[in-house]
Parts: sequence; C-alpha cells; structure tokens
Amino acid sequence: MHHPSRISRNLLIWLLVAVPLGWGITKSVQKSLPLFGVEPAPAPSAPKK
Amino acid sequence: MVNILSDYCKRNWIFFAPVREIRQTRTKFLMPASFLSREATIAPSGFNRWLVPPAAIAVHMCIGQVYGFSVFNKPLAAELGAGITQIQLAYSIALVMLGLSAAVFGKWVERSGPRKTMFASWLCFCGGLLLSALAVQFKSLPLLLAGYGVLGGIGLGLGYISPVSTLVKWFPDRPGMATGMAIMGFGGGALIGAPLAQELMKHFAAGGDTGAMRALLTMAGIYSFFMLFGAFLIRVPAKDWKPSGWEPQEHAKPMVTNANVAVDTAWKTPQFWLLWVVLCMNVSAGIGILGRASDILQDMFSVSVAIGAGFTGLLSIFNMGGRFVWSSVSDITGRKRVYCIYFILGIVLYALLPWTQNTGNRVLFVALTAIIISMYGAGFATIPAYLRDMFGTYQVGAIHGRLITSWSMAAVIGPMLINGLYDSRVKAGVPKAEAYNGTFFLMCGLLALGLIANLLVKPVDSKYHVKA
Repeated sequence: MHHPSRISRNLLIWLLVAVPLGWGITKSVQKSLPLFGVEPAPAPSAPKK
Repeated sequence: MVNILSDYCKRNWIFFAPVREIRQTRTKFLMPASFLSREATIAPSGFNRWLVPPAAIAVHMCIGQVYGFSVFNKPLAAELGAGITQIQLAYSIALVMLGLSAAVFGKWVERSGPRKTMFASWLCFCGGLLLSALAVQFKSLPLLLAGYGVLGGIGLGLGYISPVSTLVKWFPDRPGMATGMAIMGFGGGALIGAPLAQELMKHFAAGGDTGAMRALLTMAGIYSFFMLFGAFLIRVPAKDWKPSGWEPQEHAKPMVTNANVAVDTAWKTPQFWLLWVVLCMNVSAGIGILGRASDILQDMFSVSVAIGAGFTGLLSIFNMGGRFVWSSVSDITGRKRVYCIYFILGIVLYALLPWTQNTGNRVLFVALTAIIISMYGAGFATIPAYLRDMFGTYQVGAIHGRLITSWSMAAVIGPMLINGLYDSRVKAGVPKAEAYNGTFFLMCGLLALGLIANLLVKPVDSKYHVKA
C-alpha cells in the first residue's frame, strides 16, 4: 500500500512532463486543423489603447 | 628530493595548515561531483521505477528542440545579416555532433552513470543556447555555429543516450516500452520547441528587434529547469535488483540474450552492422518524406500552404506517438518481427501512395503517410531494445551511441535521394504532381534493403560474450 503523499508526489512528477508535452500536442493539433477543413480559432486581438 | 620535501612538510605541518584548508575547501567544492556519480544515484530499496521514465522524458523533450530550430532561421538570418543556408548550418552541425558525441562519449556515459551525463548534457545544450544568444548580441555567425552547432550538438548526443542503459535495466520485462517513452519525449520536444520559440519571439519582438536573443535566453532557462529536474530524479537500480515477480528466462527466447557484449567487441559483430543498416534504411525512408511533407501535399493535391503546414503538424504527432506505441508492441511481438512489420507495411503503403494521387483520395494519402511516419519514429524508439536483446545490458548505451552514426548518415542520404530524384524528374518534364511517384518507389527499395538486413540478424556468437 503506497502512502497518499507519495502517490501525489509521483503524480506531480509525471504532470511536470505531461503538461509541456500536452501543450506541444495541442499546438500541433491546432496547426493541423486546416487539413480537415476546420479553420483554427483566431488569436485574441490586442486591446485597443 | 621528493622524500626530503615530504618529510619537511610532515615535521612542519603547522605551517601548511592553510594548504590543508584549501584542500578541505576543494573537497567541499567537489561535493557536487560525488553527488553526480553513479554510486550516488543507486536507488534505495522500494524505489518506484515508474519515476525513471519522467526523468528520461524531461531530458529528451528538451533536446528534441533541435527539430524545431528552423523557426529561428529567418529571425537569426535578419539579426546576424547572414543567409538562411548559413543559419541552417548550425542545425546540420548540431545533428552531426549528436552522432559523433554519442559514438565517442558512449563508454564515458556507461562509466559515469546517467546523472553526470545528463548534467553534462545540460551544460552543453543550455550553454549552446546561451552562446547562440550571445551570437545575436555580437552579430557573430561563427559563435552561433560553435555554440548551437558544436557545443549544443554535444549536449544532444550525451542527452540522447544518457537514459537508455538505465531504462533497460529498470524495465527488463518491458525494455521496448521504457525506451519508447524516452525517445517519444525527443519527438515531443519538436512539438514543444517550435511553438515555444515562436511565442517567445512574438512576445519579445519590438521595433527592429526580432526577439530571438531574449527567446534563446528564456529557452535556456526553461530547459535548464527540466534537464536538471531529470538529472536529479534519475536513479540506477542496485546491482541485483529485478522487478518483483519477474525472473530472467534462460533461453526462453532465442533472439533475446542473457549474456553481455562489450561495446568495443559489439561493433566487430555482423549483428551491429546489420542493425546499423536496419536503422539507416528505416530513417532514410522516412526522413526524406518528413522534410518535404508540406510541399508533397501541395504539389500532389494542389492544396493551400496552410493545409500543407497542417499536414506537417499531423505527421509530427504520429512521429511522436509511433515511438511509444510501436515500441511497446515490440515487447509482445519481439524486435525482429516488429521491424519486419515496419519494412513490409512501409513498402506496401509507399507503393499505394501514387494510386491515392491518381484517384484524388487526399484523406487516404494523409492516413497512409501518417502510418509510415509513425513507423519512422518507431525505428528510433525500438532500436535500443533490439540492441539490448542482441548485446545485453552491460554497455547497451555505448553501443546505441555508436549505432546512432547511422542516423547521421540517413539524415544526409534520405533528403539527398528524394530531392535529387524529384528534381531530375521535374527537369525531365514530369508534371510536379506526379514527380514524387518515383521517389516513393525508391523508398520501397530502401525499405526492402532494410528488410533483408533485418532478416539476416541472428543471435550473437557466444565467442563475443563478456566472460563472467
């Protein structure tokens, strides 16, 4: 039986690498949207001064 | 004379107290060296082996940035007043240095252990990024080539092979899956590196400043965090450790050895060179397509640049995913069989590509190419486990380092073949849309060569084994 704090520490360690990888995959999926005839969402425009 | 001096020092030791102090300070200063040693990384009893893959992924996803270097081409060319070809030279040098350093430092990596190697990889790779930023500041192309190309390239080679040996020792029951995870991280690094650099340059750009310098500095900082995280997290198993409930099966699988072969002996065996050809052909067949994916889709199906770029993005995901999926499959099928699948399926799929163009079936073309590229990535990810099966775990990291020279070779011949054949066909008057068909059949030929080499792989003769 693993201690809960040890489980959460292990989870945190995995998250630390999973989050950047997930971000990279999301960016690539966004980039590939035109291939499927889907227009990528427009980037939020800068607020007018 | 030395004895006289030594006696004098012993008798008058009080006068040499400062020297002793310096020595003690030096010992304190050298403490990190022992922290980095292999002995310091031996895992305590009860250590969770599932913490080792994130350490390996952390390092690999940083050094995988090299595949996204092309986003710096235009900004660096503008900052340094150089041509894009000159900037691309830094990328080429880095890849050559990757192969060379992996081959040259492989034995040192095995001796020093993964933590020291990852630390050295961090020093070189992030040092390379810092020197690249300085190159922008001083508008110096040679500094960029030396920094990113040479120093950064050494960091790539060290980082690439650093976790291999450790992972196969931690996962003797699933070596394919374990090394597949790490090398998937390298594929993932490409997905992160390019958009990260673009976002940072967009953020820092102001007036005539492209933001490249500050982007490189920031990336050095971010990558330092992840690479050091990997270096501190990594552990090697104790000498006689094995997963609970797992026993090595003597002669249960004829293509998996329980013996060991030293690196200097391994490359004298026919198995090493057959696997060298296997990797070289598999990579050559994929790299030529991957490098021109956007152009190929645009020329063959008359699609827009945005759709071409989308195709490249999709292939990158399959390149990354294939590394983990196929490599894990190899633990079930065996390494020789899975490479037969890569080659035979690759030949069939490449042969079908011209037909998809003739029938105008873009969706099928994309699907077939995605599977091909998944097997291209898988070729990288499965080879460490194949080496482990052939040569044992003793110096598998160093052997892998020497085998990587086939990647450097493939990086040259793959694009050269596909570009050369395409150009000659266009010059001969073949329409652009059909000019790629010949190159697809050429790729079938390369894969057939790889298949033959793979079929010739037999267990290593016991005369090469390390005597216990």
